[in-house]
Amino acid sequence: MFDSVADVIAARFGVDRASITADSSFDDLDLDSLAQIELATAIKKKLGIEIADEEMAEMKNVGAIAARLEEIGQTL
Amino acid sequence: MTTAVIAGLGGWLPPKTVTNHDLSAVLDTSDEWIRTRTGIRERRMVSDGMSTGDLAVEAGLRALKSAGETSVDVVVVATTSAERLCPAAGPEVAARLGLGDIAAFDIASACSGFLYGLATASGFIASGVAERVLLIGAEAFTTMVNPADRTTATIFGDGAGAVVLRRGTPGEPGAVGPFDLGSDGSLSDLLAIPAGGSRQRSASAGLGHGAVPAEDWYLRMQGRPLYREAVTRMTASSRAVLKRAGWPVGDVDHFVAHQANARIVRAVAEELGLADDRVAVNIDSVGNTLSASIPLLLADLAARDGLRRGDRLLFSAFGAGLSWGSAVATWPGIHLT
Repeated sequence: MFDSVADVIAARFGVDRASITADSSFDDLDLDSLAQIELATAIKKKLGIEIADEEMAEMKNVGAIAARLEEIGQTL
Repeated sequence: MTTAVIAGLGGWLPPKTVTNHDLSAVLDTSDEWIRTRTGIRERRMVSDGMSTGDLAVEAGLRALKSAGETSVDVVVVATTSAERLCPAAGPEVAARLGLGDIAAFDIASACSGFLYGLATASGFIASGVAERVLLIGAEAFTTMVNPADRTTATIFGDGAGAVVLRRGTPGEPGAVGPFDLGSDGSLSDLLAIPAGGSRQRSASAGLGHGAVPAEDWYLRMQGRPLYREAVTRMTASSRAVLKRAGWPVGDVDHFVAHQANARIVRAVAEELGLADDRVAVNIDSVGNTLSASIPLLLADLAARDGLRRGDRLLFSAFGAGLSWGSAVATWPGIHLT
């Protein structure tokens, strides 16, 4: 799941894929609060999993996003 | 069948330019932050007592000249920043334009004001209430924004755009319609100026104006939920109007969207499947001009010689209310003055 999320971030925002780690925070990746919403939209499109904007805002790093998406995916 | 046809177009911006650098000198922000977050580099602002009516008159004059008209039956001013709380800007603007004692009124629908105005004017023409309408989107909204609030002080700009609409038929170049309009009042608090209206006055009756906190006189905006609503509603409304018109999205020559934030426009364009070169953008030089944004953008396109007679236009807007609207039209091939 981490790889899928990192791929979406790299593709959507033009971030260097190699620079994205599980510890990368939104600040590290230079993603502002609108970008967080844009990311949620891109994840829904590419991975078919929906995460609320308020939840996304709470995510500490890419690892946390991946973990949360797996949780949501399992309850479907 | 009678429809409204665009017969004239004009735009006007107040001369005072405020750049991101100017704002960074007084606010905790930067040119880079403003540009990447909103797409705005600079905007115009009224000053020295210039206000909405002045902008409306300048744009109105240019639209009338462009149409080769000296009279109309109705003046409609779409604005969120009228000269005073009362009366409406319309009658004063009509008087200053020397149009006589014709019908004149305002439309208060924030950023979707111009679309609501287009639909209203089209209705007047189709029903025979009017043969010619002067519709002006005019805003001096920077006067309604807290200069110390960096989330709103950086976004808005002042200006006015106007169109003359005349009677015509659906197939003519310049014909406007169909439309899609909507609202969601349950989210009215997302974008509001709390003070000045009847709600605040009734609540603080007898306490005096000093009892109202200073910040209540300015716009309050919740940017994140608004972003999500804007993209969702503008996309759905645009899709609905294209379906009504029977236009595949590939037929749209120019997406002339309300310029609230460049990222909203791009996100909507992407959702609709519009190619980048079909998306008109001028927010970089004018900021968010609310009801004026669509006619100003259209005037900009025309001035850059970017429009061909018969070009298919998709208009879409979203804003406070919440309210939204979309419409299609074709470009009449008129000239601006």
